Amino acid sequence: MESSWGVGTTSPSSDPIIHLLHRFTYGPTKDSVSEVTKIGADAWFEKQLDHLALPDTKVESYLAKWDIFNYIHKDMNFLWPLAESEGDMSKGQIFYSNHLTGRVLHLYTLIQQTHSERQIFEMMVEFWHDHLNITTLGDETKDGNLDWHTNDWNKRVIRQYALGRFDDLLQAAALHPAMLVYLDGELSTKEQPNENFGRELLELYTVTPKSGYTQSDIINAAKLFSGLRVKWPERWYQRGPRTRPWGSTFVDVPPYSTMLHGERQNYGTFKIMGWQKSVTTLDQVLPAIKSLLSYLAAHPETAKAIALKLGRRFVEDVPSQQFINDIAASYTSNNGDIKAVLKAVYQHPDFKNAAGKKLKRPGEDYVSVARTLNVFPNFTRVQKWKGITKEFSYPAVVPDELKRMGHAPLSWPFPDGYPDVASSWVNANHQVLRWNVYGHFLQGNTWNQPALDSLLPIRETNLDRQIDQVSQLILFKELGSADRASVRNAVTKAFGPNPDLNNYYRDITGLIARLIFQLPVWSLR
Amino acid sequence: MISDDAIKNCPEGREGFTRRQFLRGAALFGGMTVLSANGIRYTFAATTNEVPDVVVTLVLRGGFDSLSAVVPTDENLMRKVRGEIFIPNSSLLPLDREFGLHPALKKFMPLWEAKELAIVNTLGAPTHSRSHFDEISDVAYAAYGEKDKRSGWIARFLDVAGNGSAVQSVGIGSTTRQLIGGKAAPVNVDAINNFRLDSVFGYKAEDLAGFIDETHGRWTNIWATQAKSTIAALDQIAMASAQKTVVTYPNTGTGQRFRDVAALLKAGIGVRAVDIEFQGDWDMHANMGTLDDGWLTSYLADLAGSISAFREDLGVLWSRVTVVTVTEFGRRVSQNQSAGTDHGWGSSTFVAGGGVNGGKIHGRFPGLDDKQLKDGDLVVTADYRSLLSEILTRRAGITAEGAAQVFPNFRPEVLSVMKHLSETPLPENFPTKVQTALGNVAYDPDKLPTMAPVASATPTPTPTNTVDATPSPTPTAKPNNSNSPAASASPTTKSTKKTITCVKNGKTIRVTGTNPKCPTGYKIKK
Repeated sequence: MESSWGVGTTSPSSDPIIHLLHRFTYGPTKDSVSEVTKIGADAWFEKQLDHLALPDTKVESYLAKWDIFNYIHKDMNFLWPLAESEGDMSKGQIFYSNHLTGRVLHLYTLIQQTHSERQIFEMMVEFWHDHLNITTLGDETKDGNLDWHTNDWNKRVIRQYALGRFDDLLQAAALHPAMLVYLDGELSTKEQPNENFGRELLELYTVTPKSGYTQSDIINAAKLFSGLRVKWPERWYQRGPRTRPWGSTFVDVPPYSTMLHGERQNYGTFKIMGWQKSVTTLDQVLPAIKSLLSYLAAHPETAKAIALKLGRRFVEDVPSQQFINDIAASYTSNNGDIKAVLKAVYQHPDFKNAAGKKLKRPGEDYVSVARTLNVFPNFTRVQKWKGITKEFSYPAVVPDELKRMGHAPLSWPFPDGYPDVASSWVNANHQVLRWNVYGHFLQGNTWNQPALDSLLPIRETNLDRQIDQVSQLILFKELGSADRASVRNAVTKAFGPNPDLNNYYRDITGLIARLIFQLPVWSLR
Repeated sequence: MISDDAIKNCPEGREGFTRRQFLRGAALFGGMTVLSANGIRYTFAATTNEVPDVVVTLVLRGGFDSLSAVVPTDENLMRKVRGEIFIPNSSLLPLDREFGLHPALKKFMPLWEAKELAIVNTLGAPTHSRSHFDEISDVAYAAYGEKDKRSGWIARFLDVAGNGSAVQSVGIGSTTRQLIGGKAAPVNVDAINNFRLDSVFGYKAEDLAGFIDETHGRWTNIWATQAKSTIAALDQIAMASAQKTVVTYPNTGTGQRFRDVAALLKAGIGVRAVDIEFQGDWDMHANMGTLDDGWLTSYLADLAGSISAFREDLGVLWSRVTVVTVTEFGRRVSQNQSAGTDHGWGSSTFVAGGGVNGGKIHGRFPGLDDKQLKDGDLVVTADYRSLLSEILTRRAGITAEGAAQVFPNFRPEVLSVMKHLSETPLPENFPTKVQTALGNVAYDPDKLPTMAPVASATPTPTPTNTVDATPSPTPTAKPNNSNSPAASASPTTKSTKKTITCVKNGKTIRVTGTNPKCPTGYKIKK
C-alpha cells in the first residue's frame, strides 16, 4: 500500500531492526528490539527459524494457569468420550454448539501471537492456516462435524509443519479429518466423488488456475481421493449424527483418524496435469495420493503461488515479478524447505525497501497493541460456560472483539483464507472498532490493565518528555512536530494547560498512548 | 462547457437545493455527463429525473420455508406432504384462490390490501447445492461464474450508483457479505448506536474525532482517506441515533434493527442500501412449532410485525423504500421425521414498499406434484437476481447496463413486480432533506422496459393509513416502445405531458402524464 504524508507528521520508522520486527513478528517490543540490537538481525533470524530450541516459558506458564487450556489441541478421540460421558448428548454438544473447541483455539492463538518467543513460527502458523484454510469459527454448515477436528488440525498439521517442508504440510492437510469434513470428502461416494477438495487442491493450495489445469484434472483428483473418510469413534456411529458407512473394507491412514473405505474408492488410471498413475488395489491408493501431492508441491506454478503469498505477507501487497521469480527459484532449489525460502524473503532487496508498506489487518493491529503494552487477557471478566464436568471461565470477549472486526483468529469462512491486501480491510466499521479498542486496552478491559509506569524508563512529570517517552515505547521514534502538537493540544484540552502528571499519571499517560496508537503511522507495519 | 453553477447544483446535497431546481438545471444540460467535485459521475441521459428508492434487503438466514408462509390452498396435496406441520385453509389469511398467508403474518394484511406488499413465486439461486455454506455466500455475492467473489452485489450496486455520501450502505446484523468490497464503504453495525467513538481518560469523543480527522488529514493513503469519511459517517449516524419514533416495533432484535433503519432513513444522510439480517435462524429441521406458538410462528410474527411497524414509522418516506426478503434456499416440500423441513431450493419472496405492484402474487408456482419437484424441492422458476435487477433498475436508478455490472453473467427476465419511479411521483410532502440526501437519478422514459398492465384498471381500495404512500399508478399512457428505438424519440409524446396536483386530508402529491388523474381518494387541486 502506497502512502505519502505531509510535513510534521510521524512517518514509519526507517530503522531496519524495527522493519524486520514489524514483518517477522506481531510487532516490535522493547525486549525484542533490544535482543535484535544485541545479537544482530541475521543471528536473530536464524535463532527464530530453530523455533523448538527457543524456550517459551512466559507463555507456557500462563497457559498452565487456566483450566480451559486443558482442552487445547485435543483430538476427537479425546473429546468425544468426554462429551459422551455426561450421558446427555445435548450437553456433549457444547463442543460444537458453543464452538468451545474453536474458541479455546482462538484464545490460545492470540496469546501465542502476543507472547510467544517463537514469533516467526507463529506468523507462519497463521500464514499456512490461511493458505490451507479451514474455518474454526464454528461450523453450523458442517452440522458440528468439523469442530471435533480443528484443534488437532492446528497441532498436527499446521504447527507440526509450519517451518518444515511444504510437501509434508500438504500431505498432512490432505489426509487430515478436518479437511475431509471441511471440503466434503466425507460426502464422496464412488459414483459421485465430491469435487470440492480436488478443485481447491489445484486452485488454492498448489498450482493455481495459471497452470491451466482442466475440469477433468479436478474430477480425476476427486476420484483418486474418493475413498478417504473420517474414522469416527465407534460410539459416534451409534450416537452421533451419521451412521457407520456401508461396506466392509476399511484401511487405516495413520497418523490421523482417517481411513480408506474400499467400497467408495475409484480405481483405474488417473491423470492429473503431467502426473499419471494406475491404481488397481486399495493398498496402491495411498502411495498414489502421496505421489500426486509431491508432484503438485514440486510444480513450478506452486512455487510461484507460494512466492506470491509470501511476498504479500512479508513484503508488499503486490510483490514484484522479480521477487516472485527469485523466491520461487529458492523454493524449487531448496525442495520446498520453508525455512530456506523464508531466509530468501528476508534477504531479498524488495524486503529491505518495503518499510511501512503494509497495512496492519485487524488481528495484527490488535496483537501488536497487546505486545506493546505487555498485557494478557483479563480472566476476571469471563463468561461461565457449562463444561463437560464443570464450568469454564472463559474471556469470550477477547476473540469476539476481533470477530466483530472481521478477523477472528483462524476463522475465515471460505477455503481461500483471509485476504492479505490493504483494500480488503479498509472500511468505516472496522476503523471505529479499532479506534475504540485502543481505549479498551489502555483502560484495561478485555485485557489486563497495562502497567504503563513499568513500561516506561522514567516516571516523568513533564508533559513533553512524557509524550516523547510514550512515543518511543509505541513507535520507537519521536513524533513529527505537527503530530506532537496535536497530541499535546489534546492532552491539555482534557487535563488543562498544565496537566498534573504527579496526580493523574495513569490517565494522562493513558491518553497520550491512546492518541499515539490513533496516529495513521500505527496502522502500518 | 458545464458551468460552475451546474456543478454546484449536482444532486449530492448542497443546501437549499430542491428537486425542482434540479430538474430545471438538468434540462439545461440534458444529455451530458457531469463530473462533480468528488469525482462522482452523473449521467443525464436525456430527459427526466427522480428521487430513487432506498433498497432494504432482509436476509432470512438458514433457509426460509415459504410453503409455511405463503401456503398453497390445495389441502389434499399439502396434507399429504406436510403431515404434522400442515396448515388447514380455515386458518389461512386469504391471498388469492391458490394461496393463503400463515395467520402469524396477519400484520402483512394491511400492506397487502393497500397493494404495498407483493409475493413473488418461486425464486431462488441458479445453484442447487442445499448447502448453507455455499448458498448464503453465493446469494450475497450474486456473481455466479465469476472467480473473484470478494464484492457483494450491494457493494457493486453502489459502485455503479453511489451518491458520494459517507454512509451509502449500512449492514445491520452480523452477516453483511452483500456489502463486502466495492468502493462505497459500508457501515456494518449490530445497532446504530454502537457506531460511535468512546470517550477515554476525560477526552471527549467529539474531540477524538477531531484529532483523528486532523492527524489523518496529513496523510494520503487508502486508510487515511477512509478515516476522514468514517469521521463524517460518525456524525451522520449520530444524527440517525437521535431520531425519535412513536411507533411500537416488535420487541425483538429484528424489530430493533428495523427501527434503526427507519432512523437512518429519516435522518436524511444519503443511505441508499441497507442489509438487515433477521435475528434468528430459519433453519428449522425440527420442532417448527404449532400455529399458535413456537419457532416458526414467532418468527413469522416478528417478520410481519417488524416490516409493518417500519412502514408506519416511515410515513411518507415509504414511497421511496423497497424491502425485499432474501434467503439462501427454500425448504424441502415434504416434512421430515422431526416436525421440521430440510434444505430445499425455490422459495416465495416478499417485496414491500411504495413502488411495488402489490396485493398480488407474481411469478410462476412450479407445482407440488412429485413430477414437478426437483429432488423433492420446489423448482426455482425465476432467478432471484431478476427481482433484484428489477428493483435496482426500476426503483434505485441504475440502467440495464449498470445492472449487468451488478449481476455479471446474467440476463434478467422482466417480472413486473416493481413500478417504475416515473409511475410513483414523489409525494409533495416528502422531506426535502431526505430528498436532497438521496439525490436524483436520471432515466430516459422512452427506454423504460415494457410495463405489464398494473392495477390502474381496478381502483385501489385505499386504507386510511396509507394515503401518502402509494397513489395507484398514474396512467401515463406511455407508448409501448421499449423495443423500438425509432419510435422512442418522439418529442411530441413528452410535450403533451401535464402535471397536476392532488390533495387528500392535507396530503399533496403531484402526478405527471399525458392524461394525469388523481389516485383514488385524492382530489385534483385547481
